[in-house]
Amino acid sequence: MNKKRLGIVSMLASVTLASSALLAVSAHAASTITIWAGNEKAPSYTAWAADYSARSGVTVKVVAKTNMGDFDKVQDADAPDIIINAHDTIGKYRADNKIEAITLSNTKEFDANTLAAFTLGTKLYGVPLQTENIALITNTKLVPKAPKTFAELEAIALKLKKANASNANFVPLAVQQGTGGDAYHMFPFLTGLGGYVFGGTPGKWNVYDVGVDNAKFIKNSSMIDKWYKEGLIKASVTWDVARSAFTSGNAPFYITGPWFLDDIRKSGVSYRISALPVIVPGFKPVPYSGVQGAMMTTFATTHGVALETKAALQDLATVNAQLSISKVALRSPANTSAQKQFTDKDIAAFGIAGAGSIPMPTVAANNVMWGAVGGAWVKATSGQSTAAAAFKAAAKSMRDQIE
Amino acid sequence: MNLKSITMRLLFLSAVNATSLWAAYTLFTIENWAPLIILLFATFLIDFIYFSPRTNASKWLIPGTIFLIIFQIYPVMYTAVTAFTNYSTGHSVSREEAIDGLLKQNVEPVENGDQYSFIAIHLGERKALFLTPANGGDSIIGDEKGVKSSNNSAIPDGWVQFSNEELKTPDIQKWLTALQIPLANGNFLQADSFTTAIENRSLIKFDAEKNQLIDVASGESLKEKGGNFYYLDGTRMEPGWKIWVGFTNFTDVVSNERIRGPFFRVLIWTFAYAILSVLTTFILGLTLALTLNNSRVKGQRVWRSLLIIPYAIPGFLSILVWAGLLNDDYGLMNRALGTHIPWLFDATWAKVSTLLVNLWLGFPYMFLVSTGALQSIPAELSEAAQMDGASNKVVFSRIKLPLLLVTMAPLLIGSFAYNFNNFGGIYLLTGGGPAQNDSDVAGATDILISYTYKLAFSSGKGAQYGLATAISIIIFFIVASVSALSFKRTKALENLN
Repeated sequence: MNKKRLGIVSMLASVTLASSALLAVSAHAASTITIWAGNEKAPSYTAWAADYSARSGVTVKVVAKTNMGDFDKVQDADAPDIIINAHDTIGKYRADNKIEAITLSNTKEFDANTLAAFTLGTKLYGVPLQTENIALITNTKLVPKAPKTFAELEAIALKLKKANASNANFVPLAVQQGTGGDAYHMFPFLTGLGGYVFGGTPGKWNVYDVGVDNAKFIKNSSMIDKWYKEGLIKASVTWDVARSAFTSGNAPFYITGPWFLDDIRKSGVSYRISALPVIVPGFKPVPYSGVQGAMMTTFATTHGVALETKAALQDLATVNAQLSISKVALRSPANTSAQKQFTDKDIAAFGIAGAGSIPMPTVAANNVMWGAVGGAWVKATSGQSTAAAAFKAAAKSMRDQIE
Repeated sequence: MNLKSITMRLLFLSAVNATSLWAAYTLFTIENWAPLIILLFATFLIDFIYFSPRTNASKWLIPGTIFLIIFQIYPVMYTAVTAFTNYSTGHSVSREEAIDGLLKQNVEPVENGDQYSFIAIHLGERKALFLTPANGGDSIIGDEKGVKSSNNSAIPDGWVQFSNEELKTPDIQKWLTALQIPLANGNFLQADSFTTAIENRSLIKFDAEKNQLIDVASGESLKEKGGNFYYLDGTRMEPGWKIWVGFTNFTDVVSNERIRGPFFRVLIWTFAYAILSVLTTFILGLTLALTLNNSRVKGQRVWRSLLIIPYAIPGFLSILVWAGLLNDDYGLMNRALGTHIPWLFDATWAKVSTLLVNLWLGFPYMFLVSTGALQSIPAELSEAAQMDGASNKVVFSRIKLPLLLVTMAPLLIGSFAYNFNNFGGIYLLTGGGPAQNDSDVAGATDILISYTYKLAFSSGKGAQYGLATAISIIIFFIVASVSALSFKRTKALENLN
């Protein structure tokens, strides 16, 4: 075989291989809607996807993603048509031209705050699917009678702490922080003492009005110093310390969300889920709420499935779809009619405890809040600084960084 | 050439060519020309080299060169190029894509506008919508040129209705999604499902001649600055796009108070952390190596195996375990010592903790290499010195240590460079914390690389890749110059031989 013929044969062989690869590419073009959801969330959508595929004729594929960050750099061919994520991602996604506005016909079935969570300007960017928030979980064996005020809770917790002085694993009030801080879990204490993060209302936050050092909060902040001194709240309680303390019966009170519900149920500890009692009259200690939602990506248009995607999103907003998803996800459905029909009593209790909760701000400026406010809580509850000084510094840091 | 060699070569090149043809097709469809040309050229070059009998040397060099380009040169170039852009959240797409997104965003339904149900129809290649008003009235036919009234309520002659299946094919769906049927009043009709259309209006439009976005109501051009358009009231429109910003990212480090503020404090601690980490691990590792090198020690092998354990456990795992052990109130350390040391919450103690944990993680490496280096020093040298009456101390400081340093110095420099950028060692243990009282982004234990991470990814603007790459480049120059300087100094040691 001479050199020339060798080259020709090689080219022929490679062209054959290459064309079969091209065929595989064009076969991909059928009507399929791809959904990306986080690893833990994805299983709750498979039943709906199968059902909707059967009803509509369009194939819905749910992909469980280990790293949702892949969406930031995904290329068109591999990109999803729908992405399911928490509402605080919409600001980033829109700024990067990754999602498109949608319309829903049944917005009346959703709470205004839930819709606001997925709204930027006047446009809705996602179908709210489930809401979640933290609540107070009480060990009913240790605390048979529910405290009505925070002062009562404090007294019970400290009394039990004294009785358990020799128990090194005892945590009087298990709320997670750690060295990095946790502004999310501490948020009810911020609101309960009269503070706020940004002025304005959900979806229309005024980022130039930072309220983590407002006068009322600073006035009440000496209570935080007291809580640290008596050992009620300490930054050293990390998420795993908090969880194992409660599930092993070593914590009378635990502030957490439905994501640990399964662990709590399995532990056999008898519990009650309620809102955090009022700390200072006049200020309701409301938690943040997170809303999971389904968003239409700009890739749906380039894939040529935009209208089918819109139809699928509309279906996700219906009572039946939301009930089927919430059952597996163990979260409160965002559709209020579905919420009423949802029978899990613990999830319902979380929902009641979350009344008035504030959706986490979607504005980019909120990124600086986590570090600043989380850090202030750590300083105040690890004895590094007084709460007043820590929160004044946090507010200054936030104002410096928000341009 | 024997048959086997020809077959192998043929199969290999077929695979290479097929892969590159496939990649070329993908690049062609997304109209990415520069990489396409490079790819085709490279493929041709590979084919040429492996078929030509005159390029024997290149046959061996080419695989290494390709990997060098993919895994070293390309990332370095990419980093260097990114540092001169404003690449960040909100500035990640091209100007065209951003304009496309903005145009879509600034469409709104007209209040009390017309609503239609439609049937998609076609006549040969021409496609149109046959629209019937929701509130009754005459049907109209509309396409991208405009609307035409239709006097009867049936599809005009010759036109054929798209079947349900046809309607759902990507091509028709793309056409349907993009179709804007202009109306006489300046608004347009747009499909919002497969069967219904609504009246929309655009708040902005793109003027191709001026290459500008125009506010429809006032006819004014929108201000364009720094990779963003601005509404007339001055609010920034998102998405923006990627632009070149020259040295802005570098000058920001000096001129932007928010970045500059903690920069030097962090820089000093980074040096301290890296140097102390190297020193402590080296001293402990060497001490243990010297001890175990003494033949009078029983069970040398067992000791050596035990000492390597910290090295064998994945670092990120043991760091997380350490974070638990050092917990202020619930950690084993304070309980075992009967103390109440704020290991992770006090600025000074947190620094001590990061060094301690790094010592635990790093000494086995130093122990291993020191043991190796010690064993390679000829025993005659120490024996001869002892014969001449040198004490053990003198033997160590005058003979063993200088000889050791010849082999160890490059490793110590490498260890310094590694610890200078030891992101995991800081971030997993303390998260850079505790927060400092000066309310900076940087915490007490943040080193440059973790500070960069915080600046770039948790700032008020989302992810700032441009700034992050610029600081990475600065870090590179710091590490490179320290290393170059040290290597120069260690040359002197080598002259000992």
